[in-house]
Amino acid sequence: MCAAGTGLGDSEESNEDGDPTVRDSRTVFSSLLEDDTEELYDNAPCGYLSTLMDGEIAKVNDTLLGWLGIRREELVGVRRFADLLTGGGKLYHETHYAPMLRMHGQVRELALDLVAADGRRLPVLVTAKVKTGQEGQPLLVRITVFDARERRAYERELLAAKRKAEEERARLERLTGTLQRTLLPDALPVIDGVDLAAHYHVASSDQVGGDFYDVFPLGGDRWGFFLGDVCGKGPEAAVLTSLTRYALRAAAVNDADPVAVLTTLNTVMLHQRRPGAPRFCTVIFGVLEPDRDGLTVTLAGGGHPPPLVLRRDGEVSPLPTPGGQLVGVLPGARFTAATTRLRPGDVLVLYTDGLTEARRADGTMLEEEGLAEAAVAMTGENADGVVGSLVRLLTDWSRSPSDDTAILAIGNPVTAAAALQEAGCST
Amino acid sequence: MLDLTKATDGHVHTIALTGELDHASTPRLHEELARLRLSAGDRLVLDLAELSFCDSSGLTALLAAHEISLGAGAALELATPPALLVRILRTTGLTEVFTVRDADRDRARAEVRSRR
Repeated sequence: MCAAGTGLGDSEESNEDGDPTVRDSRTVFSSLLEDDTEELYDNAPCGYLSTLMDGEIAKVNDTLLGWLGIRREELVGVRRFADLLTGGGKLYHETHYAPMLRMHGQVRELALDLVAADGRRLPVLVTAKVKTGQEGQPLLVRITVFDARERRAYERELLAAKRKAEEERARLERLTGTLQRTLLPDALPVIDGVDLAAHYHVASSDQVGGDFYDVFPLGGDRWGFFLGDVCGKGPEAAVLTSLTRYALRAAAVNDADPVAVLTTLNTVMLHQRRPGAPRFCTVIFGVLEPDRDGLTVTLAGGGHPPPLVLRRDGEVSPLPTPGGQLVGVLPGARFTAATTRLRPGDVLVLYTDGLTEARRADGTMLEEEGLAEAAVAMTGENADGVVGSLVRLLTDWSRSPSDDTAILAIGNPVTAAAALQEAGCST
Repeated sequence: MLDLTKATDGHVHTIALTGELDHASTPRLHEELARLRLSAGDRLVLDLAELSFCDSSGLTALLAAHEISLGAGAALELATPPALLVRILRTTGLTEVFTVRDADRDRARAEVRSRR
């Protein structure tokens, strides 16, 4: 009636010692329980050894002897624990293991390599504890040794994976850097009668920034320039930046009127749009016309913060293009133009909002008002000087700017002739 | 961090935004907007009173809301936008594109005044 004997005490009959199957399984069970401790010590799945306080091996189990391929009499009373270690391990034993054992009475999970009789290295984890007598005096050290080959192999794999990830990251950063450079001019052109300087900061080294600028010839001593910011970051922003740059340059060849150029860019971007995922840029496009005693700047704004005009005499004012709308979203977007004339020593500054949105640790933002205020002290400097001062202002405000920032300064240089003329006028 | 709370009351759909609308969080608002079922004559209200930050990525979501509403024949309202967003809308020339309502704030102020 019963499938008795498959388990212990699972039926009435099985309680009777007369059942031979029950007796057998109980014999097996009790033989497991009566496993003598000496046998367990010697054949445990880890290595055991005990040493005297000076490290001399007093006792060692068969498991460890098997791993090392060494006979008991070659170790006990003959060698010390440190003798089983590699050269580096011996040093570590002296500098860390032994002092830790003395101070704390134990060491836990130290990764060491034992050297077997045939010279093989056995990666192991060592835990040791000092056994003390009744008065607390140290008597001997009990050491367990765990086979760590699997674990060490796993750690090596982890290290290899980490190294690979670091290499990939470096590769990505190189790629991003290369892509970034294709989105910016190699160098600003050298233009007679125009003083140019720029600054570009990308907040993250593995993401292409969304800011852009350029200065390029239009022919007939006229020059086009632009500075802007596409929404978003990364590859999509890079695609949009690329489109924007080439559309602006191509449009300007046809008709350099700033409002016409931005209108063309808007049309091109609208053709590229995907429903439900608006992508836009804000940008200032302008034309420079240097002449004998000055520099005429005509520009149009597409939803971008107005540039600042730094007059040599200390005046700072924005050059607004009121109502100009961002580019790429609205059919029939409105753009308005503004004109100014730069006399020698005047500088026009275009920037992206990474500058005005610089935040101090307490959360306050520089903002357009703060920028205009700080710029007063920069009047009279050339384009390079103004950009340098603005970068210092930016880093003063935020130690590690979290936003991309582009700055383009266009100045009318103070020539020797102009300086002379001025000196003549003032006497 | 951005929390979105949705409510629909008849023809009025409200999404309240709490927190920061930036590069990381904006896709979630885009998803919510794509899930909306707007009918002609509906109102979509984006409650921005608790919006603490908005960058250019965030602006794309507001423009998407504009586009979706326009396509459905619904009306979009930006309710109580913070000063930061008002400034962005002004710089980008979008003040006239969006209907901005500060009615709630005005009413709250009026109530405070009337209690005095």
